[in-house]
Amino acid sequence: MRAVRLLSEVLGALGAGVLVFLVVRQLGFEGRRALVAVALVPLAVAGLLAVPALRSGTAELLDEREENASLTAGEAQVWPGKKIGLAVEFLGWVEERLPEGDTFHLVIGRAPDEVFVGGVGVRQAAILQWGLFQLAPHLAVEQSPKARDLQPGEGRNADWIVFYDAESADHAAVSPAEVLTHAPRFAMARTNLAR
Amino acid sequence: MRAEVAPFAVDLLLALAGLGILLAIGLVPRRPSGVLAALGLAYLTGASVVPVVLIALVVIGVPFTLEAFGVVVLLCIGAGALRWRAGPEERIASREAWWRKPWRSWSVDAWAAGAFIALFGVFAVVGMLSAFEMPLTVWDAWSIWARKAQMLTEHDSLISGFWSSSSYSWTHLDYPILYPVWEALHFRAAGEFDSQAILRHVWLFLVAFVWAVAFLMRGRVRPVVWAPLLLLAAAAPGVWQQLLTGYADVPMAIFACLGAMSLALWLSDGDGRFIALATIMLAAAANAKNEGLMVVVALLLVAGAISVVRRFRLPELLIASGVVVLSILPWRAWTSVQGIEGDLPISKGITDPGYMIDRIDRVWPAIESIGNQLADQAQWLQLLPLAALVVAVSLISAVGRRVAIFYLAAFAVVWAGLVWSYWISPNPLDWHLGTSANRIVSVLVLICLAAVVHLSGLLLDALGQRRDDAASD
Repeated sequence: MRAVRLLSEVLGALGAGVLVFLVVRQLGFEGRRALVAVALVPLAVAGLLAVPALRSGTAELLDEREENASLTAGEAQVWPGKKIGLAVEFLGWVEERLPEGDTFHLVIGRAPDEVFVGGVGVRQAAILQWGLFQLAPHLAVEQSPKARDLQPGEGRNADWIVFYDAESADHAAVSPAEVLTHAPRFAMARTNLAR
Repeated sequence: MRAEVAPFAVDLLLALAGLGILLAIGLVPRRPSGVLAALGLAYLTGASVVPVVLIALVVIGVPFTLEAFGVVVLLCIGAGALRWRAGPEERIASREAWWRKPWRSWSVDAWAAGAFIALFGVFAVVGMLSAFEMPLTVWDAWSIWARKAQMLTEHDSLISGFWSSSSYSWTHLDYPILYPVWEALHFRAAGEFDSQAILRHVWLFLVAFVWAVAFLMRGRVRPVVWAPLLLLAAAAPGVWQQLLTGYADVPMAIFACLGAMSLALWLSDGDGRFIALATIMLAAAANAKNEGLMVVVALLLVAGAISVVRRFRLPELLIASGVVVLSILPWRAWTSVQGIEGDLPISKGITDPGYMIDRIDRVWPAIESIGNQLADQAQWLQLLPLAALVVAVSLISAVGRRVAIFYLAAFAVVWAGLVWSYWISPNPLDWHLGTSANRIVSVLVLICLAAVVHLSGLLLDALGQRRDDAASD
């Protein structure tokens, strides 16, 4: 229906142009001059629409400023992750412990209610993309965007394995004694290879 | 202090670099008021040329540093300085400035320009204040663009652990990197990566854009015409809200719009300076987004078709096209050497009719979805219907007909190109349209804006001339 709406909007503008043309002709202007005068329509429309739109835009920007003013600099950095419900505190905890230049591999636990689009789990993609953003400039290694079961030795070439809502005990590349735990299923461990 | 102030110094240097380029081209009058008037266009010229050169340099192994940025800026400024020294300062015939005259004698144009400066000025200041507090929240803004900018901030080369790593393939590693390079310059100047500090600079694109259009159209379109129309464009939520998401769509659309406008000016005046400017703006659009490259190809094809039919300066257009191709070559060559492939099977979309026929059911939903977005006048404030009106009047009245044909064909071919990209895309169509159609139409809307401003100016100028002719008769 909206495609029809676009057509009707264009026809409406052309109709307004025809009306202006007829009125200008009635005022005694010759045909071509009356036609060119139709170009006054955009100016009139712009004059009518621009000021209210600027006013509401200004109000919206002021509201947004007020809304964001309470965010601290630290909160602002992790705001997108927090907004989509991710464990930004855990990732911040990991970030503090990753030595400069070290790489990591993010293991994301599977959720039974995962929704898939084009083979990619929506929740997993969110965790992966935000996790790798919050942990940058540390680089991720051997990371796949698709949901899958853990492979033996996956992430072996990373310096660290980061477990996001996942069991660290199952992972072949880490020793259980080396696991640093933030909360159940949220942990990090140096890989056997890195040690 | 550095984190707050130094990124604005980057903006100033980009404007100075752009000013140098514009002076070298001969597009800026050599007088202080001319330089001031050209600052918006200068900023966007600098934001095009400097990152494009830096991309070429980083690809061949020159470190991406503030020093390299400084050298490129100095070269651009030097080019302008040479041109400035080559000729005497231009002076306007001793005409008293309008602001020195009693206000009762101000022309309608002076009032229109004054009202524009006051209204847009308030909006621009409020937008800037809001952008100062705004975190980067929208998905691709952090996941694609800021992430790449962060890598270019922390590392001075295209490190393989990110730029050609399969671990980051979902960040669309093939996407051209003008926008991340532009962001990274600000972060490097600040001395830190702070995602909350970028939108205040992104906002400058809008300020520079309206300033640039007013400057480009000076002498052709009166302030009483451009002032309300540019206010309308600036106030359109689809423009400013999208800009403040931190996505690259509106910056790309801004470059493409100025490129289209410059091509139209070149087609109508035959002035070689405009094809030079078009080259710069189109190079930026092609280096900002993959869709930007498609838009640039569409605009050059339309200009080329008009040029061939009218036997109009084809060699100039071919040189311009060659320079645009040259500008995208380093990045494309680098991604090709690294084996980085994009989402779109472009060769199949050109050479494989079977592939296209199999997916024919994607065409109508794509056309419809783009149409739906364009029909959303709460976002676009009637810019498309107004463009349709002035194009129709120009075609019927023969005033600016060539310009009208260019804008109409450009709009149609870009729309067709966008549909084609949905047609060949391997992504699920509903998801693809749902996540992108509202953004990609911004370039179509800004082509409409270019048409409305340009053609309304020509038409009302013709109206004024006819009135003058009648008076002299």
